[in-house]
Amino acid sequence: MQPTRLWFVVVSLMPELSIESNGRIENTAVYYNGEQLRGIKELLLNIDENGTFDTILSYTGENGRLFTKNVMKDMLEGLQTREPSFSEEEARSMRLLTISGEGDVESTIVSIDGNEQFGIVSLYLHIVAPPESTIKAEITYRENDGTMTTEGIF
Amino acid sequence: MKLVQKLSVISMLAAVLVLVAPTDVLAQRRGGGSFGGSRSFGRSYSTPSSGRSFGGSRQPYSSRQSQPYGSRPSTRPGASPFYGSSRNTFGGTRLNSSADYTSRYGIPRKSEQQRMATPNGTANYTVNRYGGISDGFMMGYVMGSIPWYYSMPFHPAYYYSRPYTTVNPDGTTSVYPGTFQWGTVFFMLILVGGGGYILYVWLRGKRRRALAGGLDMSRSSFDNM
Repeated sequence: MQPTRLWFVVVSLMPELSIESNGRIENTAVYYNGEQLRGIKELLLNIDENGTFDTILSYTGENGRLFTKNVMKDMLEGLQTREPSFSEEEARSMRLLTISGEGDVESTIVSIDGNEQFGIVSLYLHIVAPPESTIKAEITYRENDGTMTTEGIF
Repeated sequence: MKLVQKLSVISMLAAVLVLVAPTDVLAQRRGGGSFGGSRSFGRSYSTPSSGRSFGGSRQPYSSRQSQPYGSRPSTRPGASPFYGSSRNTFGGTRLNSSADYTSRYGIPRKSEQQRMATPNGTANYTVNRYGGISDGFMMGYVMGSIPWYYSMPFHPAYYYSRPYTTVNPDGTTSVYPGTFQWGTVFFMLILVGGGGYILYVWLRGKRRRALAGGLDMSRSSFDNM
Protein backbone atom coordinates (compact mmCIF):
# COMPACT_ATOMS: atom_id res chain seq x y z
CA MET A 1 0.00 0.00 0.00
CA GLN A 2 1.33 3.33 -1.05
CA PRO A 3 1.84 5.46 2.05
CA THR A 4 -0.32 8.48 2.10
CA ARG A 5 1.65 11.61 1.61
CA LEU A 6 0.51 14.30 3.96
CA TRP A 7 0.65 17.87 2.95
CA PHE A 8 0.98 20.35 5.62
CA VAL A 9 0.05 23.88 4.94
CA VAL A 10 2.18 26.09 7.07
CA VAL A 11 0.79 29.52 7.50
CA SER A 12 3.57 31.85 8.34
CA LEU A 13 2.69 35.17 9.83
CA MET A 14 5.46 37.47 8.83
CA PRO A 15 6.12 40.16 11.39
CA GLU A 16 5.87 43.69 10.13
CA LEU A 17 7.83 46.52 11.62
CA SER A 18 7.19 50.12 10.68
CA ILE A 19 8.96 53.27 11.72
CA GLU A 20 7.27 56.60 11.15
CA SER A 21 9.26 59.73 11.72
CA ASN A 22 10.18 63.18 10.50
CA GLY A 23 13.72 62.75 11.71
CA ARG A 24 13.09 63.96 15.25
CA ILE A 25 13.10 61.52 18.11
CA GLU A 26 10.04 63.09 19.72
CA ASN A 27 8.13 62.56 16.49
CA THR A 28 9.07 58.95 15.93
CA ALA A 29 6.61 56.13 16.24
CA VAL A 30 7.32 52.43 15.89
CA TYR A 31 4.56 50.03 14.89
CA TYR A 32 4.74 46.28 15.27
CA ASN A 33 2.09 44.44 13.31
CA GLY A 34 0.09 47.63 13.11
CA GLU A 35 0.17 48.60 16.78
CA GLN A 36 2.12 51.57 17.98
CA LEU A 37 4.67 50.66 20.59
CA ARG A 38 5.85 52.53 23.62
CA GLY A 39 8.65 52.09 26.08
CA ILE A 40 11.29 51.55 23.41
CA LYS A 41 14.83 52.17 24.49
CA GLU A 42 16.71 51.36 21.33
CA LEU A 43 16.08 50.07 17.83
CA LEU A 44 18.82 48.87 15.53
CA LEU A 45 18.29 47.63 11.98
CA ASN A 46 21.39 46.64 10.09
CA ILE A 47 20.62 44.64 6.98
CA ASP A 48 22.70 44.21 3.88
CA GLU A 49 22.69 42.04 0.80
CA ASN A 50 25.65 40.01 2.06
CA GLY A 51 23.48 38.40 4.72
CA THR A 52 23.87 40.71 7.66
CA PHE A 53 20.55 40.77 9.41
CA ASP A 54 20.46 42.54 12.73
CA THR A 55 17.06 43.71 13.87
CA ILE A 56 17.42 44.45 17.55
CA LEU A 57 14.71 46.01 19.66
CA SER A 58 15.35 46.97 23.25
CA TYR A 59 12.26 47.88 25.21
CA THR A 60 10.72 47.95 28.63
CA GLY A 61 7.98 45.38 29.01
CA GLU A 62 4.69 45.70 30.83
CA ASN A 63 6.28 44.22 33.93
CA GLY A 64 8.96 46.91 33.94
CA ARG A 65 11.71 44.55 32.81
CA LEU A 66 14.04 45.51 30.02
CA PHE A 67 13.96 43.15 27.04
CA THR A 68 16.33 42.94 24.09
CA LYS A 69 14.93 40.90 21.22
CA ASN A 70 15.44 40.19 17.56
CA VAL A 71 12.32 41.91 16.39
CA MET A 72 11.88 39.87 13.20
CA LYS A 73 12.54 36.47 14.74
CA ASP A 74 11.80 36.45 18.43
CA MET A 75 8.56 36.44 20.27
CA LEU A 76 8.22 39.92 21.73
CA GLU A 77 6.82 39.37 25.18
CA GLY A 78 5.28 42.07 27.29
CA LEU A 79 5.33 44.68 24.56
CA GLN A 80 3.72 47.93 25.58
CA THR A 81 1.41 49.46 23.05
CA ARG A 82 -0.48 52.69 22.90
CA GLU A 83 -3.08 54.49 20.86
CA PRO A 84 -1.74 56.01 17.63
CA SER A 85 -0.27 59.34 18.55
CA PHE A 86 -0.07 60.99 15.16
CA SER A 87 -3.02 62.00 13.05
CA GLU A 88 -3.22 61.21 9.37
CA GLU A 89 -2.49 64.82 8.56
CA GLU A 90 0.63 64.74 10.71
CA ALA A 91 1.63 61.42 9.21
CA ARG A 92 1.60 62.97 5.74
CA SER A 93 4.54 65.12 6.73
CA MET A 94 6.46 62.10 7.97
CA ARG A 95 7.99 59.12 6.26
CA LEU A 96 7.02 55.57 6.94
CA LEU A 97 9.59 52.80 6.65
CA THR A 98 8.16 49.29 6.72
CA ILE A 99 10.04 46.03 6.93
CA SER A 100 8.40 42.65 6.69
CA GLY A 101 9.87 39.21 6.30
CA GLU A 102 10.79 36.03 8.03
CA GLY A 103 14.03 37.14 9.55
CA ASP A 104 16.39 36.77 6.63
CA VAL A 105 17.50 38.95 3.75
CA GLU A 106 15.91 36.82 1.09
CA SER A 107 12.38 37.20 2.37
CA THR A 108 12.61 40.79 3.53
CA ILE A 109 10.56 43.44 1.83
CA VAL A 110 11.28 47.06 2.50
CA SER A 111 8.88 49.80 1.61
CA ILE A 112 8.91 53.52 2.13
CA ASP A 113 5.59 55.31 2.30
CA GLY A 114 3.99 52.19 0.91
CA ASN A 115 6.30 51.95 -2.09
CA GLU A 116 8.26 48.72 -2.27
CA GLN A 117 11.97 49.32 -2.67
CA PHE A 118 14.29 47.46 -5.01
CA GLY A 119 18.04 47.33 -5.43
CA ILE A 120 18.84 47.84 -1.78
CA VAL A 121 22.44 47.16 -0.85
CA SER A 122 22.13 47.97 2.81
CA LEU A 123 19.80 49.46 5.32
CA TYR A 124 20.99 50.99 8.54
CA LEU A 125 18.72 52.47 11.16
CA HIS A 126 19.67 53.24 14.73
CA ILE A 127 17.38 55.10 17.10
CA VAL A 128 18.10 55.51 20.79
CA ALA A 129 15.75 57.06 23.32
CA PRO A 130 16.75 60.15 25.32
CA PRO A 131 18.97 61.22 26.84
CA GLU A 132 21.17 59.94 24.01
CA SER A 133 18.50 60.78 21.45
CA THR A 134 20.26 59.21 18.52
CA ILE A 135 18.40 58.90 15.26
CA LYS A 136 20.25 57.73 12.21
CA ALA A 137 18.61 56.10 9.22
CA GLU A 138 20.04 55.61 5.79
CA ILE A 139 19.59 53.28 2.91
CA THR A 140 22.02 52.45 0.11
CA TYR A 141 20.79 51.53 -3.37
CA ARG A 142 22.56 50.11 -6.35
CA GLU A 143 21.62 52.12 -9.37
CA ASN A 144 21.14 50.69 -12.82
CA ASP A 145 24.60 51.82 -13.84
CA GLY A 146 26.13 49.98 -10.88
CA THR A 147 26.85 53.01 -8.78
CA MET A 148 25.85 53.22 -5.12
CA THR A 149 23.59 55.89 -3.75
CA THR A 150 23.06 56.45 -0.07
CA GLU A 151 20.00 58.36 1.07
CA GLY A 152 18.61 59.36 4.40
CA ILE A 153 15.29 57.75 5.11
CA PHE A 154 13.56 60.35 7.19
CA MET B 1 -3.47 56.76 33.42
CA LYS B 2 -5.36 59.99 32.70
CA LEU B 3 -8.50 58.56 34.24
CA VAL B 4 -6.61 57.81 37.42
CA GLN B 5 -5.27 61.33 37.48
CA LYS B 6 -8.76 62.78 37.02
CA LEU B 7 -10.17 60.61 39.79
CA SER B 8 -7.34 61.64 42.03
CA VAL B 9 -8.00 65.32 41.42
CA ILE B 10 -11.74 64.92 41.95
CA SER B 11 -11.22 62.99 45.19
CA MET B 12 -8.83 65.60 46.46
CA LEU B 13 -11.19 68.45 45.64
CA ALA B 14 -14.01 66.64 47.42
CA ALA B 15 -11.81 66.11 50.44
CA VAL B 16 -10.78 69.74 50.48
CA LEU B 17 -14.40 70.80 50.21
CA VAL B 18 -15.37 68.64 53.18
CA LEU B 19 -12.40 69.77 55.20
CA VAL B 20 -12.80 73.47 54.63
CA ALA B 21 -16.57 73.44 54.99
CA PRO B 22 -17.28 75.64 58.02
CA THR B 23 -19.32 73.04 59.83
CA ASP B 24 -18.72 74.66 63.20
CA VAL B 25 -19.87 78.00 61.92
CA LEU B 26 -22.92 76.44 60.36
CA ALA B 27 -23.67 74.64 63.57
CA GLN B 28 -23.42 77.84 65.51
CA ARG B 29 -25.69 79.58 63.08
CA ARG B 30 -28.17 76.87 63.73
CA GLY B 31 -27.75 77.70 67.37
CA GLY B 32 -26.07 74.42 68.11
CA GLY B 33 -22.66 75.31 69.44
CA SER B 34 -22.36 75.41 73.21
CA PHE B 35 -18.78 76.48 73.01
CA GLY B 36 -19.47 79.54 71.03
CA GLY B 37 -22.69 80.21 69.22
CA SER B 38 -26.18 81.04 70.13
CA ARG B 39 -28.59 79.17 72.24
CA SER B 40 -32.27 79.64 72.01
CA PHE B 41 -33.64 77.58 74.85
CA GLY B 42 -32.73 75.16 77.57
CA ARG B 43 -29.43 76.15 79.02
CA SER B 44 -28.91 79.78 79.50
CA TYR B 45 -26.11 80.61 77.11
CA SER B 46 -26.61 83.11 74.40
CA THR B 47 -24.53 84.50 71.62
CA PRO B 48 -20.91 84.62 72.66
CA SER B 49 -19.08 87.87 72.63
CA SER B 50 -15.49 86.79 72.95
CA GLY B 51 -15.23 83.53 71.10
CA ARG B 52 -14.00 81.69 74.16
CA SER B 53 -15.23 78.20 74.81
CA PHE B 54 -17.63 79.08 77.47
CA GLY B 55 -18.04 82.52 76.07
CA GLY B 56 -21.13 84.44 75.37
CA SER B 57 -23.61 85.96 77.64
CA ARG B 58 -25.52 84.03 80.18
CA GLN B 59 -28.96 84.76 81.30
CA PRO B 60 -29.38 85.54 84.94
CA TYR B 61 -29.60 82.54 87.14
CA SER B 62 -33.01 83.66 88.26
CA SER B 63 -34.38 83.18 84.80
CA ARG B 64 -33.36 79.57 84.97
CA GLN B 65 -35.07 79.25 88.27
CA SER B 66 -38.18 80.67 86.76
CA GLN B 67 -38.72 77.19 85.48
CA PRO B 68 -38.11 75.10 88.55
CA TYR B 69 -36.72 71.69 88.06
CA GLY B 70 -39.68 70.16 89.76
CA SER B 71 -42.09 71.83 87.44
CA ARG B 72 -40.80 70.11 84.37
CA PRO B 73 -43.38 67.94 82.80
CA SER B 74 -41.06 65.01 82.73
CA THR B 75 -37.51 64.17 83.68
CA ARG B 76 -37.05 61.30 81.38
CA PRO B 77 -34.36 61.84 78.76
CA GLY B 78 -35.65 63.61 75.75
CA ALA B 79 -38.68 64.97 77.44
CA SER B 80 -37.32 68.23 78.72
CA PRO B 81 -35.71 71.01 76.79
CA PHE B 82 -32.53 70.27 78.69
CA TYR B 83 -32.38 66.69 77.50
CA GLY B 84 -34.40 66.52 74.38
CA SER B 85 -32.31 68.50 72.00
CA SER B 86 -30.22 66.66 69.49
CA ARG B 87 -28.42 69.77 68.44
CA ASN B 88 -24.67 69.87 68.40
CA THR B 89 -22.46 71.04 71.19
CA PHE B 90 -18.77 71.83 70.94
CA GLY B 91 -19.19 71.22 67.26
CA GLY B 92 -19.84 67.60 68.11
CA THR B 93 -22.89 65.68 69.19
CA ARG B 94 -24.73 66.83 72.23
CA LEU B 95 -25.58 64.03 74.54
CA ASN B 96 -29.04 63.44 75.82
CA SER B 97 -27.61 62.16 79.05
CA SER B 98 -24.34 61.05 80.55
CA ALA B 99 -25.39 57.48 79.93
CA ASP B 100 -25.07 58.08 76.21
CA TYR B 101 -21.37 58.51 76.70
CA THR B 102 -20.66 56.15 79.58
CA SER B 103 -22.53 53.30 77.96
CA ARG B 104 -20.13 53.50 75.09
CA TYR B 105 -16.86 54.53 76.68
CA GLY B 106 -17.31 53.29 80.23
CA ILE B 107 -17.19 54.91 83.60
CA PRO B 108 -14.79 57.83 83.77
CA ARG B 109 -11.63 57.30 85.75
CA LYS B 110 -12.09 60.53 87.51
CA SER B 111 -14.89 63.06 87.79
CA GLU B 112 -14.41 66.39 89.42
CA GLN B 113 -16.60 69.35 89.99
CA GLN B 114 -15.19 72.57 88.71
CA ARG B 115 -16.48 76.04 88.90
CA MET B 116 -15.44 77.91 85.83
CA ALA B 117 -15.39 81.60 85.28
CA THR B 118 -17.15 82.82 82.21
CA PRO B 119 -17.37 86.35 80.93
CA ASN B 120 -20.75 86.62 82.56
CA GLY B 121 -20.24 84.81 85.77
CA THR B 122 -19.40 81.33 86.83
CA ALA B 123 -20.77 77.94 85.99
CA ASN B 124 -20.51 74.53 87.54
CA TYR B 125 -19.10 71.76 85.47
CA THR B 126 -18.50 68.11 86.08
CA VAL B 127 -15.37 67.27 84.18
CA ASN B 128 -15.04 63.58 83.44
CA ARG B 129 -11.59 62.26 82.70
CA TYR B 130 -10.75 59.01 81.00
CA GLY B 131 -7.01 59.34 81.04
CA GLY B 132 -6.51 59.62 77.31
CA ILE B 133 -4.96 62.26 75.18
CA SER B 134 -8.31 63.88 74.60
CA ASP B 135 -8.52 64.74 78.31
CA GLY B 136 -5.98 67.44 77.67
CA PHE B 137 -7.81 68.71 74.64
CA MET B 138 -11.06 68.71 76.62
CA MET B 139 -9.57 70.88 79.31
CA GLY B 140 -8.27 73.23 76.68
CA TYR B 141 -11.76 73.67 75.32
CA VAL B 142 -13.36 73.89 78.74
CA MET B 143 -10.92 76.50 79.94
CA GLY B 144 -11.62 78.49 76.85
CA SER B 145 -8.10 78.08 75.65
CA ILE B 146 -8.25 76.80 72.12
CA PRO B 147 -4.86 77.16 70.49
CA TRP B 148 -4.78 77.80 66.80
CA TYR B 149 -2.90 74.58 66.19
CA TYR B 150 -5.85 72.54 67.42
CA SER B 151 -7.26 73.24 63.97
CA MET B 152 -4.13 72.16 62.16
CA PRO B 153 -3.88 68.65 60.70
CA PHE B 154 -0.43 68.13 62.18
CA HIS B 155 -1.83 68.36 65.71
CA PRO B 156 -3.58 65.36 67.27
CA ALA B 157 -6.41 67.55 68.54
CA TYR B 158 -7.46 68.02 64.94
CA TYR B 159 -8.47 64.36 64.81
CA TYR B 160 -10.59 64.51 67.93
CA SER B 161 -14.07 65.90 68.23
CA ARG B 162 -14.81 68.71 70.61
CA PRO B 163 -15.85 67.66 74.09
CA TYR B 164 -19.33 66.31 74.65
CA THR B 165 -21.62 67.96 77.13
CA THR B 166 -24.83 67.18 78.80
CA VAL B 167 -26.88 69.08 81.32
CA ASN B 168 -27.47 67.25 84.55
CA PRO B 169 -30.72 67.43 86.46
CA ASP B 170 -29.00 69.51 89.14
CA GLY B 171 -28.17 72.19 86.63
CA THR B 172 -24.50 71.42 86.25
CA THR B 173 -23.00 70.48 82.95
CA SER B 174 -21.09 67.28 82.49
CA VAL B 175 -18.22 67.44 80.09
CA TYR B 176 -16.78 64.36 78.43
CA PRO B 177 -13.62 64.11 76.31
CA GLY B 178 -13.88 64.30 72.56
CA THR B 179 -13.59 61.13 70.54
CA PHE B 180 -11.29 60.13 67.76
CA GLN B 181 -12.70 61.03 64.34
CA TRP B 182 -11.91 58.40 61.76
CA GLY B 183 -13.69 60.40 59.10
CA THR B 184 -11.26 63.25 59.52
CA VAL B 185 -8.34 60.85 59.25
CA PHE B 186 -9.84 59.31 56.14
CA PHE B 187 -10.28 62.64 54.42
CA MET B 188 -6.83 63.76 55.42
CA LEU B 189 -5.39 60.60 53.92
CA ILE B 190 -7.27 61.28 50.68
CA LEU B 191 -6.08 64.86 50.71
CA VAL B 192 -2.47 64.05 51.46
CA GLY B 193 -2.49 61.04 49.14
CA GLY B 194 -4.08 62.99 46.31
CA GLY B 195 -1.69 65.87 46.78
CA GLY B 196 1.24 63.50 46.96
CA TYR B 197 0.15 61.73 43.80
CA ILE B 198 -0.23 64.99 41.89
CA LEU B 199 3.18 66.07 43.13
CA TYR B 200 4.63 62.73 42.09
CA VAL B 201 3.15 62.95 38.59
CA TRP B 202 4.39 66.50 38.24
CA LEU B 203 7.90 65.64 39.40
CA ARG B 204 7.99 62.56 37.20
CA GLY B 205 6.96 64.61 34.17
CA LYS B 206 9.51 67.25 35.02
CA ARG B 207 12.23 64.63 35.41
CA ARG B 208 11.30 62.99 32.12
CA ARG B 209 11.32 66.31 30.31
CA ALA B 210 14.72 67.03 31.82
CA LEU B 211 16.04 63.63 30.76
CA ALA B 212 14.69 64.16 27.26
CA GLY B 213 16.51 67.46 27.01
CA GLY B 214 13.27 69.40 27.15
CA LEU B 215 11.65 67.32 24.43
CA ASP B 216 8.03 66.30 24.70
CA MET B 217 8.25 62.53 24.29
CA SER B 218 4.62 61.89 25.06
CA ARG B 219 3.85 60.89 21.48
CA SER B 220 7.03 59.07 20.67
CA SER B 221 7.57 55.34 20.92
CA PHE B 222 10.98 56.08 22.38
CA ASP B 223 9.66 57.25 25.71
CA ASN B 224 11.77 54.83 27.72
CA MET B 225 13.71 56.99 30.17
